[in-house]
Amino acid sequence: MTGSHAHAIDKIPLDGKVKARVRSIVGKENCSDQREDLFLYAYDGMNRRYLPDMVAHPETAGQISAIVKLANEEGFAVVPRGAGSGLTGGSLAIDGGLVITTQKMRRILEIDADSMTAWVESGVLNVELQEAAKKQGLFFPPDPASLNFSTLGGNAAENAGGPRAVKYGVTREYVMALEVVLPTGEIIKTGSAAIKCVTGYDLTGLMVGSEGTLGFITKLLVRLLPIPESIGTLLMGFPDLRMASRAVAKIMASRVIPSTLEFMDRSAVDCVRDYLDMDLPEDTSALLLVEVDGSGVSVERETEILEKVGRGIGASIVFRARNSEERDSLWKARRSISPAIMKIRRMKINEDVSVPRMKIPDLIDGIEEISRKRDVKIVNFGHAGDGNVHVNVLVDPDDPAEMARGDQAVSDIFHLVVSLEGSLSGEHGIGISKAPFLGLELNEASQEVMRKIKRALDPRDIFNPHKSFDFQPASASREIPRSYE
Amino acid sequence: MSDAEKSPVTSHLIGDCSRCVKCGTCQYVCPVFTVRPEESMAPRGKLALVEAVTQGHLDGTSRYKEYLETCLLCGACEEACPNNVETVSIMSRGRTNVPQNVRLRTVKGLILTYLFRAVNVYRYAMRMGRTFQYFLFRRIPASSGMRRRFPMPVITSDRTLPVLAKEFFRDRHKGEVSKGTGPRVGIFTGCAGNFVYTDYNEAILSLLDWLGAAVIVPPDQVCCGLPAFAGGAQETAKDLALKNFEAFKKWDLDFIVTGCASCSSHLTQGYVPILMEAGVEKNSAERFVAGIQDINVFFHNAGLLEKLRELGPVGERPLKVTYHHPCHLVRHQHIREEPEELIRAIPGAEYVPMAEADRCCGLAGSFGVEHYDISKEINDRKVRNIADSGADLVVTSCPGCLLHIRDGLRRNGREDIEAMHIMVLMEKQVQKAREQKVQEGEGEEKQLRVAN
Repeated sequence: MTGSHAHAIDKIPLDGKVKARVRSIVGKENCSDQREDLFLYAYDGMNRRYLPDMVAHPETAGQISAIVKLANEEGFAVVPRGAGSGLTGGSLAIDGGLVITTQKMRRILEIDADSMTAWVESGVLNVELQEAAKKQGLFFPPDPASLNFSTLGGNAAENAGGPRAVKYGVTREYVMALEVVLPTGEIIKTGSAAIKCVTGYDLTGLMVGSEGTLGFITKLLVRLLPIPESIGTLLMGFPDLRMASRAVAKIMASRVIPSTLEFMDRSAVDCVRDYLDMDLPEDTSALLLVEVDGSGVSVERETEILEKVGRGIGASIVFRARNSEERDSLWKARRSISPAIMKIRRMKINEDVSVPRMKIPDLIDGIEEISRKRDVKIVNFGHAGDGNVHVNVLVDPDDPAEMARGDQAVSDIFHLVVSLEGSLSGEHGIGISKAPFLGLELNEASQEVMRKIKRALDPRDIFNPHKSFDFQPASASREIPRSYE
Repeated sequence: MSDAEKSPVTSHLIGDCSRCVKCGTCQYVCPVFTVRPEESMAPRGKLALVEAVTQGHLDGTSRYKEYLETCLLCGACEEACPNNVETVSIMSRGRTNVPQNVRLRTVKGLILTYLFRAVNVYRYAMRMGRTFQYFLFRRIPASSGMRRRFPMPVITSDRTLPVLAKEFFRDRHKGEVSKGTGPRVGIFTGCAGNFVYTDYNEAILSLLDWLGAAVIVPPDQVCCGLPAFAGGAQETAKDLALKNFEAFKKWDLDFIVTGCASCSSHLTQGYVPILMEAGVEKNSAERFVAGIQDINVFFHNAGLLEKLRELGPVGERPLKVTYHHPCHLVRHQHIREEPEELIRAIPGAEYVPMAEADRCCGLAGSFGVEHYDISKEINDRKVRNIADSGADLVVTSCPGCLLHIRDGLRRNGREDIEAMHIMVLMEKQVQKAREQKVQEGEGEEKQLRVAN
């Protein structure tokens, strides 16, 4: 990015006087500038390290508002942080400044079983809401892989998705209203408790997915659904990926909408073969893990349709789970990919690109070519139903040449994705890891719209600066490098 | 840090820490993080600190040490980790990554270094404790070497404290105490089983006798050394290991069994390298360790299941029994099925599993003393799970867990649920079943030893 576009203003580190004011706002037990604590809030799931100047754990929106007003006066950066499980660096203090967490805002305020909604503070974990909702026979559909440890505030900020997205959609569809502290310190309410609401601009939609650049989410009103009566699970193996892709199209056309439709390509199948409780035919080049949910009768009927579709297309293996143990054993295939990958190389560059779902085979073919050209191993799996593919480029951090080839492969993959009318990120967000590639997908005019919005809401550019767009690799100089030996 | 300055240990440490990609999966399963959701309490946070200190970005301060020590070493994070990070080992090694003045300034450090080593002083201290405990409960901690492993005399007043046994197990039973014709089995009593909960060793002895084993209690055995080892007092740990090696070796045993999960964990997983360092040949060290078994595993493999099943039902209504898996068995040694199968075979018992049966009870040796507030909250969750299972009683295979669970049951007003060592229940029920058979006229001639 060129300097003329960015409205970057140099951030000022917090000095002793400013720290004392933060302390007086949140209380000294709720903040720290001790070096040990700074290291504890220097990383997130992207696994890079940037030391903040201070970290604060406010308990109310009012405290956050006061801190943000102070930041505007003094010119230091504030960085919102949920559980720190994001994969693109959205909660890293790349300009130093103050990290503000939601770890002291963890109350489920209300679950209304009749209107099937819940008011929660933003530090509540996804799993905590699931457990509380379950007691009322309800569930929260967004199910990112991190649901056991990520916060709802973070899920909303990243507009997280998950395997259930193919049927239920992503976080945006389940956030009805928000309480947000703006980058200038005002506290606003967006949206409505009414399902239909078109009063004014959709500020809820603007905030969801804004990666903590436009405001600090402090409360959410989310929509819940009744837990389906029954679940049916199938694993299908195919001798080639195009066959699996045709099966996906056929499944959708047969008027069955699976609640989960996961796929693994040949590279992933080979990884997990040893972890499975069953023998896969040697020539298995793609696996589909399909689930349907609903009433017992409809699940039975739809599972039969799925079986028929799979065999009709030419699946070499169709395995149906008859009980929850068998279901767990099928899911083991999907869950064991990560540990299996780590046996090949110590590090994976994990990108979550997405393409129109019928283009998955083109994407995988293209990635195979990139893998050959750049001489790096790449393992692919993901959500076949919505075209969201997790591309894992495996590299050895001790081998700088391979690391460089890995970076080139990632760049190639992004170009390929855009040429297939796809998107750089399906669910992880842009953060800092994909910011340099934003121009591939968004033209200059649409980036300029985003900049105008950012400037209007955050005129001093103190709110999670340089994330999503206008990331300045120069600020990467603050990074504390990794070491592997 | 230049390459020349790196010791092999720290060089491994950075490599091992770097396997952690900070995904956060460990947070959900960590009992400590669950009750204190702060990064300093998360396994990945502690790994980040060890990494930073080892790289020289951060000093090994007392704050660092405090964060690292707020860990149960229960291993739940390791089990959940997608990248197989060996957090338990890294935590233990990371704790030594601290300057001497920070590391050993505590009374605990002194106790670990000197008291455990002086075996006679240790025993004498326990004897004194037994005599005076009713008058001077609070003076015992200062003199008790068991403080680290088994913090029974505790500073806080709201805790349930077990009482030292009137007669220590090894004072009562010495040498070859049962001359069966079966395998020669030595009992490793453990400190808790010798000084406090002698009942489980009495039960083990009685059941071994019933099986027809030749039972030996080597009188000169000492503490297994785990508390010293985990606390960084390596020389003491070595001395103790060598003493035990010699104490058992002379009896020409087929097996060494113990009813203490922590002892068996250290004996089977820690002893070979420690003994080798103490000058024992690799072969003999390995042979020694190969004969050591947790008591559940031994009985399971020695045909006790069949013998139990032959006894038939006892009592009008079966006792509902739930089982708590000690970390030192279920994760450190992967022993899960054996105790569950044994309970199913106990006459007059019905096994009712509890939720999260393998989640740490929260004691973790001195953790339960130094962080009693956190420890209590973790324990409360255990007590809820026990109560929700509908069990009449809860059994386990670790005296530490037993102490803590009893404390939790009392604090939560659930003293209606009994807690005991799995072997004590088993022996009791076997006794009942056999007496019943005697009354029905088909009893065996030989009577069981009566445990007390």
